[in-house]
Amino acid sequence: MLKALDPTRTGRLVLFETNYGVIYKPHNYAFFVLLGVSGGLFGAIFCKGSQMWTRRMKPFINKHPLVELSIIVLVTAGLQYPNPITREPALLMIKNLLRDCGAKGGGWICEQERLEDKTAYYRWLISGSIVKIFMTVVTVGSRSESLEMMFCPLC
Amino acid sequence: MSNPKDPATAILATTVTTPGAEEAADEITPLIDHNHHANADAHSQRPRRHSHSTTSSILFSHLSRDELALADTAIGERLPYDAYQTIDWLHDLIKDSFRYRAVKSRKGVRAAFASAYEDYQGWLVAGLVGILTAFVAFFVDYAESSFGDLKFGLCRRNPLFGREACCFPRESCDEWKPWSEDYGVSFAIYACVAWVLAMGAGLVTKLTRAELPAFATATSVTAEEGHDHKRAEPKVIYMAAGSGIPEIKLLLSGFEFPNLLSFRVLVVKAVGASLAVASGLCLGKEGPFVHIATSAGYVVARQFPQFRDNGRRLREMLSVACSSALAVAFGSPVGGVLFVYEVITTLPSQSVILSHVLTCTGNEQPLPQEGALESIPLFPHRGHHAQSA
Repeated sequence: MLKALDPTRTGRLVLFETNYGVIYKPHNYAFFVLLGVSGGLFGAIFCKGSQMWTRRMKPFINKHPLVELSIIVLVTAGLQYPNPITREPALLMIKNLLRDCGAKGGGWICEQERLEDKTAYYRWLISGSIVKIFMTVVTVGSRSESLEMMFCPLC
Repeated sequence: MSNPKDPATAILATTVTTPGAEEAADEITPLIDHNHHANADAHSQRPRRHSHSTTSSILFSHLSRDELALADTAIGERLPYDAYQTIDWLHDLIKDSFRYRAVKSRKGVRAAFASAYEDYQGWLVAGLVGILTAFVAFFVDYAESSFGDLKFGLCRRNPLFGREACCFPRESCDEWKPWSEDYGVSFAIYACVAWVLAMGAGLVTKLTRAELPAFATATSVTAEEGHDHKRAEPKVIYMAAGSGIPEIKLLLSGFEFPNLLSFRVLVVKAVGASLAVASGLCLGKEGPFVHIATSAGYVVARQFPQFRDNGRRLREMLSVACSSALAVAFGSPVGGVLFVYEVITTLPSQSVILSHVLTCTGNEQPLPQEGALESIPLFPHRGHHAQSA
């Protein structure tokens, strides 16, 4: 029924669906542990960082909320546009990153994954993550912003 | 007040009456004069049959002497709460059980219909909240993707379409025109459109300016004594600012937070969320969804006296609405329920959990009514909560 309605227009039931038909070997689970640890670390960085930012910037924010919002949005755009991964809207970005790449097609990310030399690709991924973490801390830390983010992985 | 020996009655009586209440009515004056039960307010459709003046033999057979004494206090009245006050959970529980009994005690065909309507009102409200939330969420999703893609280009076929919608049925994408092929120019347009969208979100948020009294008690005391003290400055806050989740938690834990939920906030929040997310800022619409859905719950529940006049019932319904937010945000009904139970709610009643579970599945959101749960074997011990009064 829900599949027939196709709410996400992808032919999938949920927003981000991946294929779980892979059999994991014990050493693969180390990466899950690593993922959990890094998730916790990101959370801690996010909390501490946004608190620090709020404390530091409070006098300025209270006086000029719209100026501050302008600075944040322009810096965000400036940092995100050069990176082909983060340029896309957040939802599309996650969708792209979760895509199972076949032999051909699949957009920029899949092209990069098929390349032999992936250093450029990895550089974009890492710099994208750092930019996203920093901008999230700054955006949420500035209370002038109308809405703050929640639950958005890597954004 | 009858029967001052009864401790429960005495406590309840002191909470609602003050010396000198007869001369000047203030916010803690009971709305109903106890000597005139007969002309009880038509405002809240609750019948006042527990009083001696309109004696109902059916009611007497149901109520013990103590309970009758309780009925003669301010039970069943609307306690108006001030800003920052917490609601009286126990009072509201007793009040609701009296309302329930009054509805159930009448006989006749019309009364049977009325009582059935009362029973299923919770389900009705929950369903309406789910539908309203789903519509708003659809609007936000659609607007966000359309506005967001304005940073890259324009759909020739329909300017309101995003890139994905523009190219949807076909493989090729002729009708989607990027602003420019040049890197520098598209970068500049991207930044400009993002700035305009973010400004829109910021300005729209300013529409929900509200003032909270800084110290309600302090100002009222000075006014009474006639001293010309400098009044505390009211605190200006923008109700749609922030994710709204801390405020919702505050509200659901029993505090009064005026102006936090309204239709205006709902609209502003929906528009603001779509603009802010579309501008590409590092934020998500999932937090605002919680505030939006709770506002929707408030707007709908206000139309039903059962919820409007009872802070506890209203908060139960708001927590149900809250769980629908997560359900629409992630398409995860069970996740919505768990979120409300882990993060949001501090409700003393755990009985709502089943309704939350039912709630989110398909956005049909029932609230358990007395009797509804008893028929389910999971909750055999649960009688209607008049017993706990």
